[in-house]
Amino acid sequence: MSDSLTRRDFFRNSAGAAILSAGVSALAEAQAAPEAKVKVVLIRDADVLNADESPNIEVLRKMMDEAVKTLTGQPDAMAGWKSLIKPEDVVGIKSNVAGPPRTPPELEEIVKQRVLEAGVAPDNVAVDDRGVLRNPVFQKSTALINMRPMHTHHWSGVGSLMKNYLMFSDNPPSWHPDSCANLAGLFDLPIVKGKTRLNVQILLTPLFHGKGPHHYSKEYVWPYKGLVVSVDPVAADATALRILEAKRLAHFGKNEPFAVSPHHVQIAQDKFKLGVADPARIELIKLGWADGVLI
Amino acid sequence: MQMDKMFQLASVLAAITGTVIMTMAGCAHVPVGFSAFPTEMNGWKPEGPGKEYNRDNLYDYIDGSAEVYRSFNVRRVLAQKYVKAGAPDIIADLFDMGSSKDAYGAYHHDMREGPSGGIGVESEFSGSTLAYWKGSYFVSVLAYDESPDAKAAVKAIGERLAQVIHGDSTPPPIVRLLPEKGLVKSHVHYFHTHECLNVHYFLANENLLGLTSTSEGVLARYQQDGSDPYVLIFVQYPSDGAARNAQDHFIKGYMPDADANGMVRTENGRWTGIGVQGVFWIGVFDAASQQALDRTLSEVLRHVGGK
Repeated sequence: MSDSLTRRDFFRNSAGAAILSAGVSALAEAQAAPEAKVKVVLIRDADVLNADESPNIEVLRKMMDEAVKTLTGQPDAMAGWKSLIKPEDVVGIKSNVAGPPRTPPELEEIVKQRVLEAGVAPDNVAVDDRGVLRNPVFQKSTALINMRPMHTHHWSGVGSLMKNYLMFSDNPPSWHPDSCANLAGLFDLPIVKGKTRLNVQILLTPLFHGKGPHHYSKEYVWPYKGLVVSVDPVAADATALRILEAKRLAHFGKNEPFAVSPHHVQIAQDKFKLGVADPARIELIKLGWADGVLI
Repeated sequence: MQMDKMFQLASVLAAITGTVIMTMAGCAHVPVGFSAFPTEMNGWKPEGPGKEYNRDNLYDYIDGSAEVYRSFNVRRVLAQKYVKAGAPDIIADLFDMGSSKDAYGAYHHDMREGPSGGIGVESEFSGSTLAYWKGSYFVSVLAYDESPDAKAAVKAIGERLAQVIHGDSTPPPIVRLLPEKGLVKSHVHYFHTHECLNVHYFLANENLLGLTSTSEGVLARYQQDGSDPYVLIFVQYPSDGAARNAQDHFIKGYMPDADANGMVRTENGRWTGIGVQGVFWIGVFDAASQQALDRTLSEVLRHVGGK
């Protein structure tokens, strides 16, 4: 594919067309793909949020463990963590503090603890967001865990796992053109390339619509109480995107396209080959609370 | 309360000063400073001194969102955070856009489907979020959680700021070219740049229409009588020749398979048609049928030609 992309190129790819016009869900079942599917785990628990919408850490820990166990196909959660992270690894846990919502500190603590229990030395694990380029653990990291809250975004359409790596660039604005179309290229940066072991899209209280300079309004936040977990950042993003689309359809009563086209998700598949956006090529495993699951 | 009275006095003086300046300068841009922000509102007080940003350091405040306001030539932003014990924080932002056209553009960058707040030229007040434009200012006030008290404070802060904003409040003339029939008013977006157009309706990663920071365009969504929606885009060029050049370039890059009338059925089964009327380039996207496209494009070209 050349660097030139038009709206019509997206329409030649049905999944891309759906991202532009909303309604990925409708297409998902219609496609048949011969390739092996990428596994994505969607796990929800009705009790994960306290009355003040802060996470219940015990419930969240169980969700995270169950997701890792299912994703890795290991007999128990710890075996799953150990299949992802080795004792000799230097692990950067890429968080996101730009909220609301932000990556919950409770989840940061849960994942850090599991990394330590997998045998990684305490000095070889760090959680960071905006300081990753200056953080010695990230500078020498051999493994990355990528986790951020899902919400619509004023310039990239959605705050994707791919966008979460923007802080690995020494020139973040350079990734902004064309609604951040080339965010998948961040995964080719030397500090990142080939290191990502796990991606967690956090949908505890996602934002499905935003506006204004802060792109936030509490009325567009809902307690979905879910996590989307995959080794493929594009597949996790595409799945979370479908959930937001479904919520927007339910709220607005019509197919209301995102204010900003999140085409960087499709471009990650089509141009950068970073992962899979096409729902037909994703094996979605849904666990836990089913009410209002939307997809 | 004493501070409140002082503010009221300051507001009156500012209003008088603004009126005098407007009279002298023919409704010129009237700068607003931090004195416009209330020092107390329903128990909310400034967390500290307000912060001022310009177009170069706006990233420090609102990161990627800065691109939006930079594309509308933002000059400076005054930001004030209000706090109250046991209540959500309130953020009040005053964007000096330098012209009423760009204040309009900043406001209409977002979908505006919510109810009016009755403030400024146009406003939206939904949940505990208020946005409006007036003069050359775009104003945003929001509380990070919803409560009746926070909602009342948000609106009151917005009203206070509106009292001291003066100057010309004329929307961009190109917006007046939009036909009224079927116009979805929540989806009218003024733009200058290719990037901003793509935010609303991704056309191509290349700048096929040759847009620059001084270009003017408007995108609007239409839906008539329950029929399928379509998108209308106008771009104004400096000359007839420039508009025709843009047309040629767009055909080559986007629709080389267009018929002699500038129409093509695109891969989503919809129809796209383009045309030029004087200095205006006009595109209709996602029409339901060739007949519908032909009718719409002809009507729009006539409408623009008659203006």
